Amino acid sequence: MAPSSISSLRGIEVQQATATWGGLVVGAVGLGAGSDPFPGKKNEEANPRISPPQACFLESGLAFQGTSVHSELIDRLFSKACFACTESEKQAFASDLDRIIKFVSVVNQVDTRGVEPVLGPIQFARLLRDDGHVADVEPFETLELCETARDVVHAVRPEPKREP
Amino acid sequence: MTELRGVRAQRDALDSREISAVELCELHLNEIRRKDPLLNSFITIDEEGALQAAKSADQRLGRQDRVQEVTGIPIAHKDVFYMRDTLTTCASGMLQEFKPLHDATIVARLADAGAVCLGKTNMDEFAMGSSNRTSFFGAVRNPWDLSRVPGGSSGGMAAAVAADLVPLASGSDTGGSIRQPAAFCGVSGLRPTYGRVSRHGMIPYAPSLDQAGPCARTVEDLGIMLVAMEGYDPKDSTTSDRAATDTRKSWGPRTLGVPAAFMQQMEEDLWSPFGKSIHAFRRQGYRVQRIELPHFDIAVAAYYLIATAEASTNLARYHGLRSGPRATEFNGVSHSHSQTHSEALGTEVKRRLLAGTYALSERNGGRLLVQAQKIRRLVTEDLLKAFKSVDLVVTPTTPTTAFELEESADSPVRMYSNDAFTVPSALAGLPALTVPCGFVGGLPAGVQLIAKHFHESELLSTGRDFQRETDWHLSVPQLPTA
Repeated sequence: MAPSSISSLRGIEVQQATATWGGLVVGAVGLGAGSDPFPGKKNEEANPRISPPQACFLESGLAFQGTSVHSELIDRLFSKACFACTESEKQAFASDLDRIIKFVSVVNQVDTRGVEPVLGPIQFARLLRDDGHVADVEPFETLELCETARDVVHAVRPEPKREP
Repeated sequence: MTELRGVRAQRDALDSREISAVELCELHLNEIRRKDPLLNSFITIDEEGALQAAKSADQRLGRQDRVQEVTGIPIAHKDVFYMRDTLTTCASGMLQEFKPLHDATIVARLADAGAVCLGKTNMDEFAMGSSNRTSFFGAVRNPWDLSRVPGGSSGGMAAAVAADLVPLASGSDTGGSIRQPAAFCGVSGLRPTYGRVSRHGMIPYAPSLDQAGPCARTVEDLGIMLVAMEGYDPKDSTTSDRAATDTRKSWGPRTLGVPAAFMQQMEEDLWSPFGKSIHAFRRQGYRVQRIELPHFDIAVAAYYLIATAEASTNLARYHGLRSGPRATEFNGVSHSHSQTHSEALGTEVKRRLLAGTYALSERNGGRLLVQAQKIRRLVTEDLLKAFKSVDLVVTPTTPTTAFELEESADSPVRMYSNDAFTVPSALAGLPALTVPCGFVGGLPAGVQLIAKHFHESELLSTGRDFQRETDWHLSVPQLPTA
């Protein structure tokens, strides 16, 4: 049975729909029959075509407490980001930014106690190559490299002349 | 063009001398002239350079000198990749006259392999967008319905491949920028493992997420382009020296994991093509089981914090002092910088830079950014844990089909939710493939496969199996004459 409406995302119909996939149970976890998993005030940001959990968090009123993009903040951000804008542009961006900050602030709802932040996927993908001996550098070559480096540095940033 | 659709057919025709590389190049240039005024998928068309490259390819073919799978095959590069002495704009007014002094590594590698580059494809400005409406050079249109978006940020890439303007195109994928447009336009796209393909010469958006990859009609063609692009590059310290992808290996039926979480986020019309995809896999002997990815829902919010924070650092370099346009009226260096920034960058880029500045600010968003980085670890660990019980994770590529050009244009947050299914693998640096899996109301839908790090071979094998069982990838949009 195919789902007949968007409301079928919200309740028992989900399980009915998944049954058509040959017994593969891929339903909305924890949704009771007929219950509304997204209670509370409906948020205007929710995409009318889908019901992203992000919107659900916003709707629950739990997502974001006490932050709004006020004039002082927007001025500071414009200054730090090096933007010059008119007052009307600032107001438009303040409204957008307010919505974006609310959207991303749902990250606060996850319990991350004891979790180390990660800066990139390198440690998971084990990208870095093993250290290995490539080639010997002759002492003379090392001296030459140093000499060149000093010349380059001096060319860019000459030392002040000293009085004899 | 019908007989010469795809790399395999073109390779056979070139090898048997049924057609020369120059003739093939001219054939595609004609298609671009005929169709691209409707699509706007190219920013730069380099006819002279393309014909020159095609002549060289013919000479190589004549001498049988280093002939590779892509020798003589027309390709296009997303305008995010440096191409020597060729306009490279990143679809921004800031770089509208920028011509790099060197090639990006993938551009150089494909040129060395004899591929014939026809030009640079349109995209969202600085790769920031999921609709290709933020380009300085105008929106790209979806070849399946010209009133709809092709997806983004690599919208020009996907539209060009779907409309048969080129059989192969390069793209970049930060949070789904190859896979989402490929799904919207009914073609195949691959985001390789972070580190598989060099990013040297690729204008960065968020370096801890950015990855270059191929787009083509079939999975077989994706493999051909990947082999020509991938590999260790001393100019990119994040590239890996792992062995090249074995694009011919067949892995046989695998165990697929379907995460429960995405169901809540998906447009109901897409359930049918996704369900049929699962059946198609099962018919081939694949086992399918449900898996849990507890942090799947929250990944997109974490992604936008991390990506905008990195972008606000990256784009600080575009201030008009050393290169690019500069504001004409200013009072001092600092004022020149802010005026130039404001005049030359588009609205969505400014929005994201402001959000990134907020995220990087200790007083405001610093705590949020650290929290996002912790969630990045949780999302990655969820996926790696899932791979202990399944070989690949399968989801729809997008929560909706291609939307109207005007839809959600005033709501950045609605736009961001389009990346919900593609972001988790990007955060984890995992390879992911999208293949067409049906149509909803005349618009293509895609199914996404995610594999372990550096298991592109397994992804491509599974994608080929899927395309042997289905024929969605063979559908071609019918465009009116421009």
